[in-house]
Amino acid sequence: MLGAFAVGKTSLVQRFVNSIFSEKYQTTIGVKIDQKLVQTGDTEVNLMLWDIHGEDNYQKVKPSYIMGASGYFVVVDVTREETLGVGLNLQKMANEMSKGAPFIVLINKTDLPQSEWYISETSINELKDKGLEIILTSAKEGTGVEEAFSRLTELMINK
Amino acid sequence: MSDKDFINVLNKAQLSELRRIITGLDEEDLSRLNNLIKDPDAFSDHIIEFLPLSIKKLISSHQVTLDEITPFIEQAIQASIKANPQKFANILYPVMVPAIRKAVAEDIKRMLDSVSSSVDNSFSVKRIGWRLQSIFSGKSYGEIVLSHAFIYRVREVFLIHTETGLLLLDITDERGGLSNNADMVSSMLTAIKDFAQDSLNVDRSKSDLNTIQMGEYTIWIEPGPYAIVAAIIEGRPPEELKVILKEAIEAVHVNFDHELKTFDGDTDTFKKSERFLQSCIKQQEKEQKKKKPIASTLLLLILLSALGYWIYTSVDSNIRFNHFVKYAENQPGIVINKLEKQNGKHVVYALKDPLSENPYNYSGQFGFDSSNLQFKFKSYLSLEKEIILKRSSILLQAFNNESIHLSNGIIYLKGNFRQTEADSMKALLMHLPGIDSINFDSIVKNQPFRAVINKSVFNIEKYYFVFKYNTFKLDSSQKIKFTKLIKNIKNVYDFNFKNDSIPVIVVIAHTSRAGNAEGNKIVAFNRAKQFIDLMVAAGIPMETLVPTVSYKEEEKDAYPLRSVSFKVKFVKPEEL
Repeated sequence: MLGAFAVGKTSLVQRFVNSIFSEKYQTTIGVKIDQKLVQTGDTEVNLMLWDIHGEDNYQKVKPSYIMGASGYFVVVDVTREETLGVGLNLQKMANEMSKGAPFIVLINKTDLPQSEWYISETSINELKDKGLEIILTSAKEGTGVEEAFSRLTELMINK
Repeated sequence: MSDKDFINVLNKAQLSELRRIITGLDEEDLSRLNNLIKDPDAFSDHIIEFLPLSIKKLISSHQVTLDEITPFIEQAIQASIKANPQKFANILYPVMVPAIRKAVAEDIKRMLDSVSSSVDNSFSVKRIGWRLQSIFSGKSYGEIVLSHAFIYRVREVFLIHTETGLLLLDITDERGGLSNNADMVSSMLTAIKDFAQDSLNVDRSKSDLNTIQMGEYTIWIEPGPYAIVAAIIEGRPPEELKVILKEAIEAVHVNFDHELKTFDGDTDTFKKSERFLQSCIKQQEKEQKKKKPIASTLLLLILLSALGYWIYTSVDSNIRFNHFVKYAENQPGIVINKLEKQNGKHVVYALKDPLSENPYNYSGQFGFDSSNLQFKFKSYLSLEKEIILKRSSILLQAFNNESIHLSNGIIYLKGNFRQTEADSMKALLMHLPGIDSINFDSIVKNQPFRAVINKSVFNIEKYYFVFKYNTFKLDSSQKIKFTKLIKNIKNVYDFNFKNDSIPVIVVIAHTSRAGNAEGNKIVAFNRAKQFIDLMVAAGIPMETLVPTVSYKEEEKDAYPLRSVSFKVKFVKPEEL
């Protein structure tokens, strides 16, 4: 889970799994790990989710946390335009570290009124046109969460 | 000419010869080989003896490794089990049952040891400390006890893929893993390792996080090129354990090199590496100090001493009691019938002659009294010699016999007895059982009257006692003389005079006429009377004693002044 600070990465993971580690790991060592078993067709996949702290001016994502990843999410806050830029930068770094592992861009907090959205549907479509896989999610309402994890799992298996 | 044309021109014999030259086999050999190939049963029978040897040679020449064969064998076994589980169960039965029995026995033994150890330390300060530790740490008391019984224990070993941080294999000791979720712990461990390396900005290839200490647990991480082995250890592990971990990760890399390099998230392949990780599950028990069982030894000694004392006292008591019984049985007038023990007390049922000695009188010298000994007597009349003599003596108390003894039912009496006395004694004793007759052989027979009396009279009249002026007291020599006097008087008196006169003793006090003759006479008379009093006290009848005074007329008189002498006279009874 990659993304800017407070885009809702942890909330998305919490929607998906039950964690045994406290969130303070994120603020101390910068990552919190959770697990989820996902059934994709006949295959049961054990997902290890590395919920990496949000990047901001004060804290940078450690590349080593991405190294070895089989796939990743880039999470963006639909109400904060700058999070898209941060996310895309992180994706570049992740792409390099993970040797081209599959990823999905999650536009989160879509439960908020569209009037508050700073990332327009047009921008989203533009991104899709560039070949990025995008899913609109709401950690609060659970919209698109299961779908996102299932889709990423699928991509990782089929890679 | 083509080959075909050439063969066609050869006859059968030539063809056979040609075959023999080419193959080196004659027709018979070829026919046999042909049959062998055509018949699979025969062929398999034929090669069956070579196959094991071939496989053996293949393995020893390293053309085929065991690891390559193992999957086929495993698959074969799996298929066999799947097809017929019962058959496999039957095959394993002789192996499994003893193994299970052994395992159960081991577990029971361990549990007993643990319980024994727990009991040993139940009330010790150490034990209380452990209990407190258990309360504060939230661990079970048993866990705390076990942790103190070992120097170290490897509780769990992870094999983690370095690049992905994914858990390839996780094995635990018999108590089960410590981690709630090995997958997550393994990933987190990788994250922490990465974090440490990134934070310190060290060269990954040269530096690695290899130890994490958490209270009583230590995580040792042994890295390999593609995977790490991490062991969670309880206690203080020795350095040798690092070598074991190193060997394990090396073995994993040697055997799973390809799988590690091409790891795609499928961890099933690494289940086979369990045997390498299993070698890391080590533990070292603390040497249990052989505690000197002071308390139990002391208790044992006390018990043994008590037992010894009890045995000693019992034996001693029995020996003393037997001696006492033997002694009592030998006492005259006691017949012991039955011995019993009631409430720790010896009870003796016996017959007892009233004249026998009471056994309580001598039981004390054997250590028995009424507190530990009780007699239940029934009276009887003993005919034992001692008792007969005792009984006889009591009856003869009134008589002045010198000695008495018994032999063969005959009582022998010795002494000076008059016939009347002898008759009385005889009458008394003859009623007693156990006495057949009485022998008076030693009785001094009565002598002729004159001989006896004259001698005694002569003796009596020969005695005189001289007193100092104005005193009346016998000195020691006079007392002896007085006794002899009395004896002689009694001899005379004891004689049965029958029709003769009765003997009378005239006690003569001698004095003089010098000075006041009349006064002298009174003093002398009183002296005579005082002497008579002495004689009466010695058993001489008063009525046979007569005081008188005699004046000393001449110096040649036989009796000196202030003396008392005696004169025996015989008078008729009416003259008394």
